[in-house]
Amino acid sequence: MSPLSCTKCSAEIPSGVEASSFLHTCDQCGSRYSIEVFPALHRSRPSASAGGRIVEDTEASCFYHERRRAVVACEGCGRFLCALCDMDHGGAHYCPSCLEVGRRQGELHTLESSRMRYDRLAMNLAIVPLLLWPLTCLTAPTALYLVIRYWRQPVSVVPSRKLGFAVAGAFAIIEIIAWTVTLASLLLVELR
Amino acid sequence: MATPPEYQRMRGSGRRRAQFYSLVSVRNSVWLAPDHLLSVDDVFVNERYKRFFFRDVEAILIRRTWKSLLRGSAFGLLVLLASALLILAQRIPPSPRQTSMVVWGGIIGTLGSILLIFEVLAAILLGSSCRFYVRTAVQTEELVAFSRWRNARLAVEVLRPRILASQEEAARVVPGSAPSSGSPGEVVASPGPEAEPV
Repeated sequence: MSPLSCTKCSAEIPSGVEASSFLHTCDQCGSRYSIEVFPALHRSRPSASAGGRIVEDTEASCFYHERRRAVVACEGCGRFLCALCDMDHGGAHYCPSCLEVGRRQGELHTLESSRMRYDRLAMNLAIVPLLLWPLTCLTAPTALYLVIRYWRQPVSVVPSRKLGFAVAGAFAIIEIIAWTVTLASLLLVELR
Repeated sequence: MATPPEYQRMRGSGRRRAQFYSLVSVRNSVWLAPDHLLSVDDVFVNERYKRFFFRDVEAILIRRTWKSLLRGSAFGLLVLLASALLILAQRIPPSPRQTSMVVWGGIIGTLGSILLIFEVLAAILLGSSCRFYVRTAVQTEELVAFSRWRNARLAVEVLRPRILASQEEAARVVPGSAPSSGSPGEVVASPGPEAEPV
């Protein structure tokens, strides 16, 4: 267990201050804190040598380390895993390969660390180039493509509406119609 | 393998600079899932996620800051400056200089008053400014969304029972995660494989 430290000056916060109902004041920088401590702070962490060796032949061994004792089965593939190979992910246990496959295929949602917001990209492509309107001949079709391509996909990990897509789509269609009408009228004038 | 969790937005949102020299600001919001807290950073067309599982949270620290007081003082100074300009303008004879002083005094005063009113209202409704940190075994992360004392305290009230319940459950299931000082509740063996080895 490493002690709590001041987030401003890194001075150690003495243990037991969380029990006080008053704000704790840092001895060095004078910052005032409200501190909430949970049992995990006092939890003993497994050492690097975790994963006991097999003592008896009847014991189940790890799929990846045959000399180590299995402690859990992977919830993805069912292989037996030792404490070293056991990847605890939000309470579920996976082997490293299942975790990697799940992350790559997007099946383990809580491993996703970033996402492109195509609705915002489409909206920026549809609206911002209006300041330099000749650019819209390129950006409007691109925005419309993004709207059609990603309409069915969830916009974000958290609940979000598709308003951005709708606005981008509407602007892109209007710009495309404007370009088509302009080009068609110019062509007609040329033909006459 | 798993269904996506349902998120519920927590009160509060905040901004911070992407880099200290950067003009791009990052908007932060925090969402609550059944077993974790999700911090979402909006950077232009990207979203970056950080998850804090309740069973891993060791401590929550809220540090009071002077930001709202400093900002309120700055806006108050603007109002004082505008008042000084308007008083001075009354003391000099009518001239183009007096007109420009009145105009500038009016602009600065209106702007300062509006900002000051917003700051005072925010301080009354949301409390003073603060910094909210979540500490786990591997990191201490600031959540900018809880930059007001009242929101931060509310977040702690919402999170505390969930974190405690999650850690008590974890202590019952995994023997190694039991607090060394001795936790309430019986510690049972970890779920080991019972079938034949592979």
